[in-house]
Amino acid sequence: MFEESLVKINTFNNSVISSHSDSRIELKINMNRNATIEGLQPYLCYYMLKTGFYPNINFATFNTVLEDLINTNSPIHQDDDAIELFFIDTNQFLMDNLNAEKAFKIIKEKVSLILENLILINKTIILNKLVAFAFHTEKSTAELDSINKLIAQTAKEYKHIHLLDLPSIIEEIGTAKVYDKRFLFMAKSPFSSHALNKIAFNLTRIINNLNGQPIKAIIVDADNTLWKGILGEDGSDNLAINQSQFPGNCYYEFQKQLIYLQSKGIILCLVSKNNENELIEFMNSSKNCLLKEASFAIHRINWKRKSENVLDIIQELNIGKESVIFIDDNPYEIEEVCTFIPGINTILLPSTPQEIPFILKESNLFNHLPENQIDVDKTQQYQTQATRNKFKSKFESFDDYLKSLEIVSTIEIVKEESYQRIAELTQKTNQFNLSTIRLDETKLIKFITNGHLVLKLDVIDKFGEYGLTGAAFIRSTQDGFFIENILLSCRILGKNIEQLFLKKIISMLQEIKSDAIIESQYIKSHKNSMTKIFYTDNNFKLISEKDSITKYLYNSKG
Amino acid sequence: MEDQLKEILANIFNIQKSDINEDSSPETIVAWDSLKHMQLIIMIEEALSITITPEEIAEMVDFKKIKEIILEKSKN
Repeated sequence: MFEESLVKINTFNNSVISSHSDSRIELKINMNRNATIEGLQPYLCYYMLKTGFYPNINFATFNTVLEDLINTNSPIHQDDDAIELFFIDTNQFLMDNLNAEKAFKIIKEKVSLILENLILINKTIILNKLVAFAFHTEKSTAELDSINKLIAQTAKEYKHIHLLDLPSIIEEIGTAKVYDKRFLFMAKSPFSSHALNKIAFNLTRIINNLNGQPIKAIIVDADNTLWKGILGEDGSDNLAINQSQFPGNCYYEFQKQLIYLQSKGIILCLVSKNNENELIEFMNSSKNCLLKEASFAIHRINWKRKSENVLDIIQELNIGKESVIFIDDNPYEIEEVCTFIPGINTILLPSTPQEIPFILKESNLFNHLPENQIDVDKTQQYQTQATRNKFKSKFESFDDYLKSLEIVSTIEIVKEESYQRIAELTQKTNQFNLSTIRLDETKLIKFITNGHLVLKLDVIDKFGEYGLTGAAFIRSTQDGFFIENILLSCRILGKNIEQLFLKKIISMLQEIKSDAIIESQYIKSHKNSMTKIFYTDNNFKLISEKDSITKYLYNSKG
Repeated sequence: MEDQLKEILANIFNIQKSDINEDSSPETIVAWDSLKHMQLIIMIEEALSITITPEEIAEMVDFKKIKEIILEKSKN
């Protein structure tokens, strides 16, 4: 159990955690973001250290979220146990675009692409829900809602994606305190240290929940916890638990929430120092006390030490103590339980009644609960799995995913109506562009009228039509063909379409001339390193390498 | 106050307090980049309970200037 604190961080260095000899678990966290959130680091280190982790936090290149997702050479695609955080700040889009409408359009497009790629990453992913612009008068609630819905839906379907509920965090601390207006504009760093502290706290909660010990049972005290007052001293008539009166209404709310959690599959148990008959009679007869004897799976009402009773319950439930949370209003009892049952979660009930209804939510210990009852089984299965595999996520194989996409790609010789689009592709495509030869329409027409071949690729899958998203430029040679360039729009990368396209090109060329010698080239640019091994990976043999130009020969027997 | 400031700088840039003098700046301290500068501002604000404006942030180009600006602010 750990408490949020207003930590004063006196260093932003990671050095404090560079060497360690205790039993903390080392955990790598990669931050992919479109805003400056480096300020998160000290807070995150602080909370992670407190909860038994040695965090190794790395910040990816600024604002290359989508590129890094697509580029298979980026750290995201490395096979390690790192948690990948994706942090998307809407303000940056607003600043990059002329108006909010345009910004939202682009956010939606980008987020969809990010999600499309995130579902393919075989790692634990944390992604934030988006919040509205900090400074624009347009509310855009509908747009924001629809994007957040998409994010939530994806996270629901793909269990390796977890949500950072940024809207709730902002709501909690208040918009006025969330932003640092200076650094938003001076350094693309929108959040105040107060907000960063909160974000780090919530991230740590999520990571803790992931670590495989989701809360399964709540053990509560009775007096001054489920109601205000002590049954044995104040008498049943003087306990405050009335729905319509302060402070009773606070306790009433608290009980309501316990019942809600129970409906989500959390087991409720009761431990109280009381006379058993007296307490049960009060609960069962009081119309204001929502929790009855039957509400509790197990109750221990006696004068024994609480730790003894709690341990007894844990053993009877046959679950780990890390999956149990003990709630009491008395610091002494909390201390006693913690001492004798190290590792158990505890919540000390605030002495101010109005804080009590908030503690369960603010503990963030129940973020893993499903939204609908139907999901309970599925989630539990997942939780078991998560415990077993620790941070290795479980989801569909890549091939299954590809099959499910129902990709239809059409390859044809380019006709006049596509010249403009093809020329545009050669201008715009940077990453998957084997030789980055830029053509305008005139040059393209010249290339074609000189008897060379240009193929175009159209792609449709179940998410939609991507249109003309690829092209190949092939020169006829004496003995066959020379593939001068192949390019694909980044919109369709990561779906194995690259390989398929090349295979089809080759079979088309072999249809034209069965014994054709097929050669190709890769010309290195600043941005196309992802295609460096494309040919050698696909049955081409390296024949020459000079400066930035590498030439290949197709091995037809391979 | 000067000592407190030096303490903050030393912490952020991971150097010794004795390494800091009037002329210490991003030119002389390797770790002093724009990101660290931002964090320096936040640390000073928290430690001294003051708020520093963007103009002042831009002016804080070396230790001497930081000291001057903060002294000026503390008077008000």
